[in-house]
Amino acid sequence: MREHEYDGIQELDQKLPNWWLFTLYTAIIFFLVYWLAYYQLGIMQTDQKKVTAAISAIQGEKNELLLETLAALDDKTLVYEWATNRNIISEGESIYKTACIACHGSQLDAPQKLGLSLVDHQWKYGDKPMDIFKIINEGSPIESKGMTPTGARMIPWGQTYTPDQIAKIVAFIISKNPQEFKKF
Amino acid sequence: MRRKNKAIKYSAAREKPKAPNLTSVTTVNHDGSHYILHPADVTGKFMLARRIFASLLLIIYVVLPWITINESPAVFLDIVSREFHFFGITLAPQDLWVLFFGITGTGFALFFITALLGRLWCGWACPYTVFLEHVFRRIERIIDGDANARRKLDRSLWTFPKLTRRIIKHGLYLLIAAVLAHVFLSYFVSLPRLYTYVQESPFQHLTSFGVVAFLTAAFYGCFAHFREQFCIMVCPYGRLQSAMTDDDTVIIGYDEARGEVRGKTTNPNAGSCIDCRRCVSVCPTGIDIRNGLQLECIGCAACVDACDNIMRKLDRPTGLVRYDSLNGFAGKKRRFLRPRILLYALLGSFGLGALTLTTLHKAKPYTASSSRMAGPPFYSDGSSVRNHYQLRLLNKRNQAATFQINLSDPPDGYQLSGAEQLIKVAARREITRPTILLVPYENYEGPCELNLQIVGQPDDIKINHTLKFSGPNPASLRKP
Repeated sequence: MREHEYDGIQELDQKLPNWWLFTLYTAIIFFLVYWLAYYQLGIMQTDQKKVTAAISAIQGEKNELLLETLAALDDKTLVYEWATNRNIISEGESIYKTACIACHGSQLDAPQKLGLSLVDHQWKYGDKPMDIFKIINEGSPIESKGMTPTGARMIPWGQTYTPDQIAKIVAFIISKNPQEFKKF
Repeated sequence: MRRKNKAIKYSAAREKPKAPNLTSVTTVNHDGSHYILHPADVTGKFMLARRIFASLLLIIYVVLPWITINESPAVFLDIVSREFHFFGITLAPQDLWVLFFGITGTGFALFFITALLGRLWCGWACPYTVFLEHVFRRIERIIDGDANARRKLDRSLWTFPKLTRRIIKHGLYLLIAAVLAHVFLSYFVSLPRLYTYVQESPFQHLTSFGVVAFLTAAFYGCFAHFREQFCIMVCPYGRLQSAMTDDDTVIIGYDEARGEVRGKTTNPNAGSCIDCRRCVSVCPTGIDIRNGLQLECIGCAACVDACDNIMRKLDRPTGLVRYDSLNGFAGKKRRFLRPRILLYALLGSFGLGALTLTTLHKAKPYTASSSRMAGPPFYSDGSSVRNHYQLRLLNKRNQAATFQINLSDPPDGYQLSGAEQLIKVAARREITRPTILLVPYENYEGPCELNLQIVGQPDDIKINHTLKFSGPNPASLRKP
């Protein structure tokens, strides 16, 4: 029993369990070490830094992959190797049916003018296969005014699909325009 | 002779069982060290009932990972792939709201039981008690003997027999802790995957290995050493319960009116209690139930069985220590139905009922969700108004699925673009596809809600998804 009386109430003086005190002191020391390591000295990465680093790494890998694909791709390979390969064309078709069909139509002719027709022999942004690849990958260019009159623009599909998949879409489009690309 | 006396050293606190008092916790010594309890053996109807119930719970715990329903284990919380399987139903992270009803419903159901029957959960169903009392303490009883033998062994010097016993006992403890930890992990990685993990290097599955290692250490530390300290000082549920019990809650208590004044059997003026202290010696938390309802009591009913045995031997009626409410002990009328019981029951059944209904109704093998595509909320192209959405279709099944989308009962003129064909989604995959809704100017009457119907095969599952169609003021489109 402690000596002092608070308004007629006295306190018991029991010791806290040793294990409890141990966890308390350990927690304090842990905090100090953790704070120093993560936030002051930067020995360990905080979660924020880890996420940023991971995102940059992924972006770096994506860029590498794109450069790799572009290195092996050019107009001739797209027209004569990719667009003649049946597997590639059917894979391109299935991606088209998921991502492109809503605006460009099931016959690639954009009947409701939600996007540009892909079989009308007119290529607004360049008629080379690599131009088509570029526009699918990066979306409508900044200076473009989009569809008339709404200004609807195409989103950069390169953020959803790999360069490989985009090349397959291009191959599919080429296969649907049999005479168009013979000049390459 | 002198040498022998000098050699036997034991602290005063360990000479004989400590007498519980109301000013300190029995298991914490005056210097802060842990006073190790050795509860005596108990037999009786409550002990038997507890053993049976605990065996049932243990069997369920160990056997459940082996049961497969709908190609998945009965309870499989696959955190890695973010799929949660419960008895044939698969929930994806989109169904997280279900957890709200699950937790609150279970919480209120627990409060309901506590308001009725006090710390029934603690002594009968809590995994801590089940493992400690019915697995680890049994092993200790077999290896080290009864309470007196254990106390003697604690006091004795470190001889070879003592060392062997300790090594065997703690070795068994570690083994069982490891087994229990692995069973726990199998609820999160499933048994087949656990087998492969166990055969491969720990470094290939560092997180899982870390979890099992941590749990093994925790189980061993708790059940071999920490024991009742958890119930007394760490468990928040135990502390909550004093807020949920009242004078009508059925708790374990001592019939003071009948038992006092304590005295020998030969004394005709004494009460029923003969101060044999059996209730104290069997208590796993180290209290004297005759001091009244206490913080440490976990409602294990060992003291009830112990006292009943003594009363039977003395030809006195049992029930000197029994399950009863504080009002019951005071001789007042016993009440079970009271406002808080009804309130808890209502909230508990609401939570659990809502959970069951919504899970059965809403948790489907396919999920659809949508968001607007990047860009303005609507497009007006001179003849029609359009909204561009990204539709996400998730297939939670183990097999590929096909979907058909259409507008169900749309107002005149509204149509979908690009959804005429069947959409295929592979097993356990999600696809995102643009979906365009459009309406000609003549039919457009302002922003409205449209119902998208998605039919998934196999099993013809219909999902209704609401899309909000936005657009300009219709008046601005009318030709003047």
